[in-house]
Amino acid sequence: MALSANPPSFPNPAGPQGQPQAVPAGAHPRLTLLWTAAAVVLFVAMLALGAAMRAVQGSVAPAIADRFYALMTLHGLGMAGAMFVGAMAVASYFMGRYIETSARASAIALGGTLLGVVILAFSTLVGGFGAGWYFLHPLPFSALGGWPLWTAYLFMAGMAVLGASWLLWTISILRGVAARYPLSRALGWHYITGKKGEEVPPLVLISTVALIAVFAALVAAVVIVVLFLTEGAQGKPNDPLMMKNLIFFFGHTLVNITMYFGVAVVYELMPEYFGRPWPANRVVAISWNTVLALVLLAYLHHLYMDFAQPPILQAIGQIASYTSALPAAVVSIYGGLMLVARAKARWTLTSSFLFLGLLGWCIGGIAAVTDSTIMANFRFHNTLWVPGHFHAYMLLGVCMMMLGAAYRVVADNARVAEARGVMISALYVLGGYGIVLMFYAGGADGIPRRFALYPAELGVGAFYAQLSLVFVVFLVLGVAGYLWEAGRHWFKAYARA
Amino acid sequence: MVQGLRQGLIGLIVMAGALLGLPAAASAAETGWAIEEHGLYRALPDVLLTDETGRARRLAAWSKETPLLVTFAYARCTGICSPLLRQLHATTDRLGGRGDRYRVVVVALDQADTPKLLQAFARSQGIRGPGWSFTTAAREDVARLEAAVGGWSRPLPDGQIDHPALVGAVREGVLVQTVAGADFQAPRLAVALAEAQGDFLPVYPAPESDMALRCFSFRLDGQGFGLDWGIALLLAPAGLAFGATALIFRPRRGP
Repeated sequence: MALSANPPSFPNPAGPQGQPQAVPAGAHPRLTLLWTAAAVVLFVAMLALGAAMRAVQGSVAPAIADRFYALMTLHGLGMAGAMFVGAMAVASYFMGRYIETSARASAIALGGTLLGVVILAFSTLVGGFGAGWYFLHPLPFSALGGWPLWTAYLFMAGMAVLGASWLLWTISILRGVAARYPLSRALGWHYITGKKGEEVPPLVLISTVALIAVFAALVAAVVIVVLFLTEGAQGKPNDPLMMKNLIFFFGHTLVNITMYFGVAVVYELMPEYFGRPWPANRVVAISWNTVLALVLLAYLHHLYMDFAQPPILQAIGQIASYTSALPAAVVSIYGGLMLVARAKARWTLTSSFLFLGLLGWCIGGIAAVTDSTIMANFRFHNTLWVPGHFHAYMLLGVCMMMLGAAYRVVADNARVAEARGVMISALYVLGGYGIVLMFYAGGADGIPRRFALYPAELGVGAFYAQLSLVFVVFLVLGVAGYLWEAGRHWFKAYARA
Repeated sequence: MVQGLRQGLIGLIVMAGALLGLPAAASAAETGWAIEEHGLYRALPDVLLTDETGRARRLAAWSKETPLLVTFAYARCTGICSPLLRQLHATTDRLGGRGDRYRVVVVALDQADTPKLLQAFARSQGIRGPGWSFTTAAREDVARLEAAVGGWSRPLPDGQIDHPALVGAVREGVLVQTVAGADFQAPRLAVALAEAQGDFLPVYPAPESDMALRCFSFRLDGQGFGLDWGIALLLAPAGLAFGATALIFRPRRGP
């Protein structure tokens, strides 16, 4: 196991007595480098699809309007999947400082992910499958000429491959945590009860919460695929309401978990750049256990418009959305700001992206919680506000966290000093916030989402899409700078890892 | 770094302020657009339409014989008529069934048009094949019909007629779907056609329908709901996750 080339100024306590130690870089560096490279390549490809979609909406590229929903399907699923595996890969890499993880399970999951992505890309880009990442029942099999039936089966096969691979990987990391910590310790219950015990790094605590929740989300994905295939084989319809509940249980939870992995890495790495500890404590433990208790219910806010959903579940959806998001977010943002305030900071590409990612998570999270409020959702539902908030916490939140941590993995293993990357950060932030702002402005104007081409009465939606393309240029320049900075050291890192 | 961030933030706020002013200016110029929800599920005026064969028929009786897609155009049109008719032709060709399962009825907006003239205009745009009817009607009837579908027409100084691109799907005299704009895609028109042909568009199946598993059972009088067996599938992922976690973390006996 290699030692970090960027020695932390204040590592989290790793030893049984809570003594700071020489911190190893992380587990399975070569595999992690492959994971992060795959995630970054996918991120760039999905970025291109997103830009193409905005070009269609802005009437700049009407020739590909027929492909809009296929692009949207791959963009949504591909970006969420890329960030999920990228964030989980860097989290498990840094968890290697504290626990043993299985290289074999990780390698199988990487192979499964690549295979699944190829299958999904074929079903959407070649077959034209365009039911959206949420593939709501009965749309995949009722395309009304939109796409051939085989693409729906292929899409389900791709989902099954991804779900099985990721489930295996999740179980293997959970087993690694279990080999070192009892469940009560891994979840930090001793902080809550006030009992003395081994220090648990926040990275392990938050990742354990995330892994348990992602297990549930992936099981839901498997159930969905089985139900779709059963219906296809038997012709007996499924309950659309049950299918929608399952689909959003899977999708909403997976995206949330992705953010939690990103935040877990922020807790782990930021102390190393700001010279102050960020240990687990009672407040941190309570907030993240609240997340575990309630995040599996928060998805219910996606069904506010479903008149057949019992009203009690709508109320639970709003309450769970607030209680699962706010405590952990407030504790993390407050902790992050206290860590940075007046600190002797070492600003690098990693620390800048992690800190800015934390802010993006907060900004997008506020909009998300707003949208989960029934009164607000009544106005914002299916407007551009929705992509506004999820692009804020994805593009400016977890993507930045993942990219920052991935760069750290490269720099550590290449044994080179980290670049400051001020211009890269500035271009990324300018482009990213501009793109998000255009979505928010469209939402405030009541422009509906998921329109390939805006009719004349919604012409302002096309105007916002055109302006977005200007900001896409800034974002692309920022990402190109990142690729240059990380890419030029990647091969050296892989060779030395 | 912090200084740079601060300046960037100020820049973004200034830009946001400038942009928020733009929608009002842009939308003020756009007035009077067709709305797809206008007049849905209402009976259309039962106007008398004369087609290119000289046959005159009432809209209600005609749409009882076969579902109709009703649209509006005129022969001298240099605007939206050509793209609308071409898109309608291409899309209905792709979906199939035109002439067998439904007809496309083009109503002339210009009183100077004859059905033959309108048909010739359409042919000049490459529109051929079965299932098309080119019709005229009295001026007041055209205006009433177009308004009922959600459109309008008004003369322009250059002799042209300003009107929106509209396709109304009609079943038994009732407007069941409206497709606005000339750039619609096949699935959108397929939905309109499906409803015009009386197909059930699944929104939420009626409680008595044949279904593998249902998560809630609803009383038909609307008084509450109960849990059904499908709810077990909703709870299974969380139950399995917590069960598997307990299994993975189970205490092990030491060596």
